[in-house]
Amino acid sequence: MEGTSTGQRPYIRLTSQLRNATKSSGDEVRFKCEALGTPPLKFIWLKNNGPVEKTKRVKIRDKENSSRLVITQLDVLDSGYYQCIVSNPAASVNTTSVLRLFPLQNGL
Amino acid sequence: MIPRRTNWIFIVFCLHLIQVQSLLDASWWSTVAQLSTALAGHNVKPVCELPGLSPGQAQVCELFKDHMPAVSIGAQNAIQECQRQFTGHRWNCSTHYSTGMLGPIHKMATREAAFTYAILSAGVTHEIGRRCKQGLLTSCGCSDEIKPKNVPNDWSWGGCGDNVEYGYKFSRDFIDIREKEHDPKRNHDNGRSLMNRRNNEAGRKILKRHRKPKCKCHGVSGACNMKTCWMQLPSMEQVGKILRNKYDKAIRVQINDRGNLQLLADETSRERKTRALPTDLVFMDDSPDYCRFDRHSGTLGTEGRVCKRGSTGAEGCDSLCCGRGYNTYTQEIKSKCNCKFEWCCKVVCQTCNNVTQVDICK
Repeated sequence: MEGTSTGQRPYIRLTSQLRNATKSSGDEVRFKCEALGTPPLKFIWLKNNGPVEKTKRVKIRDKENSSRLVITQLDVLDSGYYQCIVSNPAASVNTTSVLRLFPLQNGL
Repeated sequence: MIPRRTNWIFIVFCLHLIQVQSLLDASWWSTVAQLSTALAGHNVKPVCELPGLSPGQAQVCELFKDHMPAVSIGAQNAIQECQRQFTGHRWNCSTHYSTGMLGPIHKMATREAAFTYAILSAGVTHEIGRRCKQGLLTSCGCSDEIKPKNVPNDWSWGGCGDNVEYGYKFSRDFIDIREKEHDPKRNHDNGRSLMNRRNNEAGRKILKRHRKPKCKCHGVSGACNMKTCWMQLPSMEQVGKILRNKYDKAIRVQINDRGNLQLLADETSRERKTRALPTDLVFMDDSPDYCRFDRHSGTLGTEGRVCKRGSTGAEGCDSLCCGRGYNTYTQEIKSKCNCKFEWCCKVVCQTCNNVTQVDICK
């Protein structure tokens, strides 16, 4: 052993929190979840406590230390509580934000 | 006609909900049926914190509070239709008089559970779609569906239609979320969740497929020179009938090694089905006989039910009372009769006694 094991205790922490967003129908929203920790980091996205389903409009891109959730052509039913859970063997951390959509204009 | 007993049962149903919350798996539906009372403001607890809603459902509730009365009414309409379809059957989709146990709630993955999930999901979709059209919800309006091919060219399209698309999506988000939630504390039965989702979807699909264009004439003194058409949802009665048929033909499934639902060969039927349609109901467990009260399987039993003597159908005393026999009571009903108008101005009636016999299962 090189004697580095004391400096390598598994750890994990978020480096930013998700921010709440209010958008209009048709807009796009981007959520970025970043963490530092002993690799490998595993990212999970939830909408209202259930898994986010990837579609043409809903994309998830994972990198080593971050994950991005992008939803395009927003629809009113995309409103929800979005949560990012990052985990590694050390622990699991999470951050949540609320996405709201402006109500429809009268007569539309 | 919905039997009068239904309303009464429903009140009992509401009163006992809280005590039985923990008793049965799908008791969250009773919470849903309560939402409108909670929203009326007599409840101290914030509406979205009602016990029985899953964490994800509570979040959807927070963001779509104005939809909750629709969810509640939709659920109530569905329960009424379910009771109508199964009037006189051992399982009649209703509650027991004194125990407060809920009828349409199922621990076992039976075809009755399949029917209940499907009709509740259709009921919610229906009510949301209807309210969108009426402008009662802030986040949706009339449907913007394009003109279907079977509507003649000279009829104009664009009356305000039921917004089935929106109702469908909202119902999927709100109702199905609990079957997909990330909750280490919940003892997640994956097979059952898949079955529930499948039946929820069948209810919504049936509703969607049976919508039809509805047209209205315009013109001088009733002439039909011009017609405006829009899309209308089928009535819950129609949906109930279709689902009742699907219930009779429900398909048995099991969960395979890969965690998917798989069709099981039906030993009783010659034709071997290889595929279930998206509108078919699916189930996993054999139904109990529903004869006796059984807390374990969540059945109410038929003791105390009114039966028809001499009938060979499901409502006949032989079948409904499961061979236990029945007691006959004489019922006297007083009503006003032979009413006459006397000048001037009163109505004079006699009181008549109607004596009928009622048979009640032992």
